[in-house]
Amino acid sequence: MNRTPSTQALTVDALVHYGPLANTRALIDDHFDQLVPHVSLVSELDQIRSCAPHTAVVLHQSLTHGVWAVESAMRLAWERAAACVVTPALPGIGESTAHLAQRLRTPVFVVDGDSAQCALDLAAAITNPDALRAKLLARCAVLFSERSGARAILGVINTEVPGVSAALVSGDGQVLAGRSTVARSGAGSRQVRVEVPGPDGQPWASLVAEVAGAGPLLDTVRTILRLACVPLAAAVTQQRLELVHNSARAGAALDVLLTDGSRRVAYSRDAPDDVASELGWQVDGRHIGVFLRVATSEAGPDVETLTPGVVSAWQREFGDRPLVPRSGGWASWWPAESRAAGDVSGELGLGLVRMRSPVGLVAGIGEPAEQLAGLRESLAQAELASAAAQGSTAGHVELFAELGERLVLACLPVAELARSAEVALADLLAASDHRTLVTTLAAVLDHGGSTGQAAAQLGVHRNTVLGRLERIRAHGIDVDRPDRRLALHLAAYALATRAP
Amino acid sequence: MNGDARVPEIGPDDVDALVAGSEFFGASIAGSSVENFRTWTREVLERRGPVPLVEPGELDADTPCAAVGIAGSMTAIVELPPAGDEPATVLTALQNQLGRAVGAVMPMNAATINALFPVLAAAELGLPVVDCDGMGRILPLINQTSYALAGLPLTPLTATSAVRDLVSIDASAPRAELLIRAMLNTAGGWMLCALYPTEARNLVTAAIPGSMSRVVRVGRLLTGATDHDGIVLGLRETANATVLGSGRVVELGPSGKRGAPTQPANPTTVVVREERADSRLIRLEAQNELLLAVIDGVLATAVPDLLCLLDRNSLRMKGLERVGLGDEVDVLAVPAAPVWHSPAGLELAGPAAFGLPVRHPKERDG
Amino acid sequence: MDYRWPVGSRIGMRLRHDSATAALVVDGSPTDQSHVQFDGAGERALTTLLRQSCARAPGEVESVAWELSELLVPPEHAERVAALRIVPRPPVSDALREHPSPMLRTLVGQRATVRGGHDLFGMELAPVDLDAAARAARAAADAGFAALAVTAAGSAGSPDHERAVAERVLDAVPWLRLCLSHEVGGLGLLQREAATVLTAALQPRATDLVGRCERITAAGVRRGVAWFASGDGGRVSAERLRSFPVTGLEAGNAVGLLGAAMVSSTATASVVLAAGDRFAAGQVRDGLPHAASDVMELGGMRLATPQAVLSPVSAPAVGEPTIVAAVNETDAAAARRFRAGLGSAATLVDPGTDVVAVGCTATEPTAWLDLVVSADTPAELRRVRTMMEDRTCTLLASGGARPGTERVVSSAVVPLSFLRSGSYRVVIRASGRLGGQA
Repeated sequence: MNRTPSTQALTVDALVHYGPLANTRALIDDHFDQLVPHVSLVSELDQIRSCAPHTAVVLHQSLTHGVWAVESAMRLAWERAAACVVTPALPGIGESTAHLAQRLRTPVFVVDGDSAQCALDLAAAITNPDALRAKLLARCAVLFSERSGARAILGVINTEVPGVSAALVSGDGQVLAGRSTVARSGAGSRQVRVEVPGPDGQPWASLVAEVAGAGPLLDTVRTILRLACVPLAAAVTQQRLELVHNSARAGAALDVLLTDGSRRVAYSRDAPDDVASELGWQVDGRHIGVFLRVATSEAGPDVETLTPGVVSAWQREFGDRPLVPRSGGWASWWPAESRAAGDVSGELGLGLVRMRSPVGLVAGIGEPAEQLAGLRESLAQAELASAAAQGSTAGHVELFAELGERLVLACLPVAELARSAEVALADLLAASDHRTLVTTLAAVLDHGGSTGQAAAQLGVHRNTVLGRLERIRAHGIDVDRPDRRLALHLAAYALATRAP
Repeated sequence: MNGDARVPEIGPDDVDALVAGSEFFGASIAGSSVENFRTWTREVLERRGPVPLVEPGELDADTPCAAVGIAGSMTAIVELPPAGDEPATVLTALQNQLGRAVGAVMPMNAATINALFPVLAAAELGLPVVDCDGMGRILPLINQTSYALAGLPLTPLTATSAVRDLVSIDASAPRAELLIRAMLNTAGGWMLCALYPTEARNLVTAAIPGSMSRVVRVGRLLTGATDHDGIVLGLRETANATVLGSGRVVELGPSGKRGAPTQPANPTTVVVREERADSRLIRLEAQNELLLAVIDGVLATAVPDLLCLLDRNSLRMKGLERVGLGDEVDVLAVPAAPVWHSPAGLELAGPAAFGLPVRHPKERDG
Repeated sequence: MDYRWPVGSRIGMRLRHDSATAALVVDGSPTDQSHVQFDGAGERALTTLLRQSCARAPGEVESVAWELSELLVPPEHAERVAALRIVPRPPVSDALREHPSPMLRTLVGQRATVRGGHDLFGMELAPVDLDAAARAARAAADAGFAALAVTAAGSAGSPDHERAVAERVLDAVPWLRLCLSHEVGGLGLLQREAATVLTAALQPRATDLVGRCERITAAGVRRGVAWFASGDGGRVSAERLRSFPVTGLEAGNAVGLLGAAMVSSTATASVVLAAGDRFAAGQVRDGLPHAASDVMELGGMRLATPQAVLSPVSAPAVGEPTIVAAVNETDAAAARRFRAGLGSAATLVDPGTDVVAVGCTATEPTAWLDLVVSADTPAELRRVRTMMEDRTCTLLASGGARPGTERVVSSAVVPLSFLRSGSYRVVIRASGRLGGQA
């Protein structure tokens, strides 16, 4: 008869952490997730044949004539789908026995003392799981009070509560702390979810725990999660407040650093070096300026609103690297003792893609430069380069050094230009295929009027380009007039660059 | 090769095959140096002439017969070799004890040097050797024989040592075993015994037939074959041996608690791990002899069936005392003589007789 | 932790009948190899060879390890000796009185057996007949033998009878050179006797050779110390090889395994050595060849002397990755053939590399203990075993290992069959470092 274990039963893991198996030596660390509703003390191998599934099979001293008997018992236990085997210590139990345990997927525990006593203790624990649970709750409560920070609190749940993986998950499903596997809940496991209030008292994230197997500790886990909510909310509020405060302070400090000495009157009481060292910034030596911007050039939340989210995501990805809010984005600088701007670009781009920022970000990178004065220069370059990156996909990085005169274009108020171009070229834009025509127009102008080169760039036949030019002319646009060509080129550039 | 061909006599030229074959049936001490036994046996057979091998039925039914064999440790006999007169001494002493001459000698067990001693005794006294034995292998106790199983009395027994102690015992079979065992510790670790005095007619049913011929046949195979597959195939034909598995010795050492007090020496374990993808574990449990083969926790073979190790590199049998970590071996199983699979046989020499709480696979099937 | 080959500069010298090869190894990498032909007497050629190797070393050369097994092969380089066996009763059979090995019979010019001996556990089996021993010694001396090999049954359990005989014999014949089997060690009367007779027979030859090697080393290398490769893949001092030349037997194969592993930049490997038309497989684990205390066979006779385990292999078999190396230049083609048969699982050592000379530099001091012990409980066995391990490490320190570098390589406990319960054979092998690294 295959009795299904009661949901009140404990797992092997629970017995290892909080029960009598704590004092045993485990041969393998896997397959601890099984429920243990029964215990059986066997003094003859044949007795194992009548054990119910999921039994903890404890071998009596009299059975252990040799390691072969332990291994025979393991095999029989496996055939009976036992939860685990407990054996008295015996010379010769070693790597090979562990190897067999691993292959049979059956945990084996070695007790130094009397195995019969262990069987009694196991039986007591299994018949009264509440005692174990109370012990678990008390331990978690004590540890929560000793930890601060979301990660540490999640760590307590994940290491102390057997068979449970927990994570802190934001409203949009992002894992903020804990085990990322929890978000992808698999079949065969149960989830417990508890809302965690944010600083404003509104639900801000969820504490999600996945309980392996049939969920023996479901109620206990729920209680533990509730216990964790209060210190979590406090930790999160504290973190956010610190972030906002620190960002404001950093912004002011960077203003000081970036102000040219000769013009620094209002801040005369702050020497730049003092400001930097107070914030733990390194500004001496060789650095590379970095500037982040929101990827899209469309209007959206302002820098101030985005700063806490961006800075916290940045810190998780880049650790202690400074990130200071500026008017158009965020400034940072990286030591460049041994690397070129290109190396920084690779690392930064990868990090930006990985970063769990509230908005997509692009970046610009300045040239490596010495000392504070150089850093000012490099940051200014980075800011310009980042403008050129805007409009690209998140994670795109532009190097100032590679921009050249395209830099000028980066400074153009593309959005405004595009709006005036819409008026000036209204006729052309009314055409059903206006995108193709604008692109073709820009390509022809980019190539100084060469239809052949434009065709090559667009990947079409030259005759096609000629045909499109005819249609453009039909909309009243004269491509060949030198006095109009710059205006036309700018309009076409603005329309082509602006996100469709 | 004819698997059952009878060997009519043993002469000086058969000694190499006799030694090699006897090693196969004495798994625990295979590979011990027995060079001096080889030269000694050859010398005696050259001096005294070949010894005829006869079947029990060929002898006059009333012919008095006695078994000869050594009790004790191979390590001890290698440290303290015999002086050379022990076979004649012990058999003559038994004749004196019995008050009549012995007409044929049978082996107590035709394995390791115990396959040589009956030949030596028979040669010195000018007698034939009966082509049979009482174990078909090595079993640790002198009362674990088909002779005892058939009810033949073990005593009167005579025994002598390298120091030339000479004793005789008149006791029940289990008591005789205990008394001999106690004396070994003082006698230098081994004693040569003449025992199981009986008549030829009793051996027709009480002995394991053809044992000596089988030893010589296996020996010819082992000394003649040069490739691994040839040996394994040949052993299947001549000794019904099967390969349980092949692999590398990964663990070696004492196993479990002390042995049963009636069993000399302590349990030991040899673990062979197969080097295939599923890497089965073959755990060999031993006490003096290899007793059990447990593969992944399942009992595959048990005493009284013979288990032995063939070194895949040297193509020699590997004894328990000589096996080393990292050795590449085949684990071979040879089924015991049918008499050992009877309920009485299993009671005397099955796993339970060694204090092992398992049923022999044959018992389970039955 | 992975084994690291010895640091610093070491030189390995392989000496053969008509040539010598010096290999310079720096921090575990073979960096130079030179070869010289000589007439067998020319010490100057060898000194020059050593000086040249030395000059190519980046720093001071720490040690020179010599491999002499080709020059120590019995019986051609051995002198005939007398043998005395102490057993409870003289054998009545010639076959049992003599040693079964033909080679040993040629080395023993005169043999005597006297009463005495112990069992494995050291219990006296018969009182020793010292008068008979003295008579035998005098007879040997009278017959012109310079050395007497004394082997008593059970001397591993109790050396008392061998010592008593030695005392009485030296009183009677003070000029007779004595070799006692318990000092050579090992289990098995005949195996120990073989090792003891060989020891006595090879001592003059070894003394001569070792002396020359010491002189050449001193002349060729500043502050150079001469060491000698042993059959288990270890190294022994000049003094040790002079006293126990059997330790140097078969050293070529053992260090050949090491050298093949070293040039392949691994400290754990399966190695096949090609020599003549034969192939032998061995294992190197953590910088030591797999060895056993009683596998040495010489001319069909087994010796109680530790030796690297080499199993004959006839044909390549697909198995684990294997290194194939030639023992001599003339074996290169055979090695290449064997390697080809193994396919991608095998690598071939450059036949230009003398793996024996290189392997000499990889040797470190080793020590063995092989005894029968009695222990009634597992706790007692543990205690005895620990005690024996300590004893082995002490032996190792006196063998030249730097204190603190000793490690027990293997410690095997085998219950003895058919003896009283609680008897075990314990075989301990320990290895240390000459230099500072652990």
